[in-house]
Amino acid sequence: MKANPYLERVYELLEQFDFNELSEKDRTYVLSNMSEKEYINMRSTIKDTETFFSNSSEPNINVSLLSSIIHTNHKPNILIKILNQPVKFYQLAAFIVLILAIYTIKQYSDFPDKNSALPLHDTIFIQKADSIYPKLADTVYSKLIDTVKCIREKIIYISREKDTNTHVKLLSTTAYVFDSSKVVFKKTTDSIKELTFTKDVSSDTLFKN
Amino acid sequence: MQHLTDEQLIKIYQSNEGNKSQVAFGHLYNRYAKLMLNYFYFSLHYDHNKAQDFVQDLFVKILEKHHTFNNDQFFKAWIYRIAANMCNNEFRKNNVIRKYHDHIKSSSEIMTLSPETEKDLRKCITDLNPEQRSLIVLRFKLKLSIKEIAQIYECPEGTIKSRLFYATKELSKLFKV
Repeated sequence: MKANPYLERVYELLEQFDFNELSEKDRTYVLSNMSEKEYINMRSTIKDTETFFSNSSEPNINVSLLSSIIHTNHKPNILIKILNQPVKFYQLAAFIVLILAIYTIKQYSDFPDKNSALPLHDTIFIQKADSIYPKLADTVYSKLIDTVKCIREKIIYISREKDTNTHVKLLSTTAYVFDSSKVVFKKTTDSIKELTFTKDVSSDTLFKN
Repeated sequence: MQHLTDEQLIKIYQSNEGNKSQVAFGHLYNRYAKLMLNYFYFSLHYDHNKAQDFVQDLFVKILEKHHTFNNDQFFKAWIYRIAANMCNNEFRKNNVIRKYHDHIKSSSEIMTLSPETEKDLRKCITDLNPEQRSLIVLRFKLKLSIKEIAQIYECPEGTIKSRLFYATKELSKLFKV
């Protein structure tokens, strides 16, 4: 709504004065856009409305309303709410099927992608060795560790990209600093001579310790 | 705590200090529950039960949404704005049943206007559009200043005066017919 100084001023006058109480100047101003009858009617409506509201009975507030408001606001714990829900047999069956499906999908998703350039196994080995048959002196733990790649005179760290260095835990007392320049992925390892053997980490003394 | 302003009380409530917060909320409730009941009662066609439910909903909203109140606004304007929005939503849903005929029987003994005039005026107020009726209730029943109404509607005082002018004109037209 656009500002209208005339309406604003006339409304102020309507709230305060009867038409015959208006100054000459205000009267002229009022009559520039409305009739005397209109003014009188509106003024009388305002007065009647005020009387109406001041005399009309007021509703009583319910005394227990405040406690019911506070009670309403204290929502029960969501877990208790869920546990209180009656569970039907088909809902339970559907839930079990869903859990099994998720578990199966999760298992399959853990298998490495055979087309990937990345190694098939989550493989980690750290050892600087002089011999062609290096002694495994230091290992890091990974939940999928079952293969160790050992390359002479080279420290190799191979891991699947998605898990890079996140699940790895060095078990030796020597501080292990991950050096990305020493990361060799399958593409690179193909070109260098490597020795691969399977290792059961569960028998690794360092792992056990 | 009674000497504290509304804004200070809601701030205490927002601080979530257990019993202190509850007391602060209790004070706010005592200050506004009756006013809000009146506002809803006269805006929702004198439906006492509905007005009572609305007061309950309003205060539950305040408990839940207290964090949306910033301290640079006035609590009074904020609570009336929520109430006005609740009324608007109710009218939008078209759920309000006009009950002024029922009410007139129960309150006829305290009128100073003639019963006929009071009945007519009640009907005319009911026939106003929701915004005009809300303005009339805020101004003449709850006796809010133009400035306070402007804060509720978040518009200049001049705009409120113009809207009140049109509301009064409309009411006068309906009433004097």
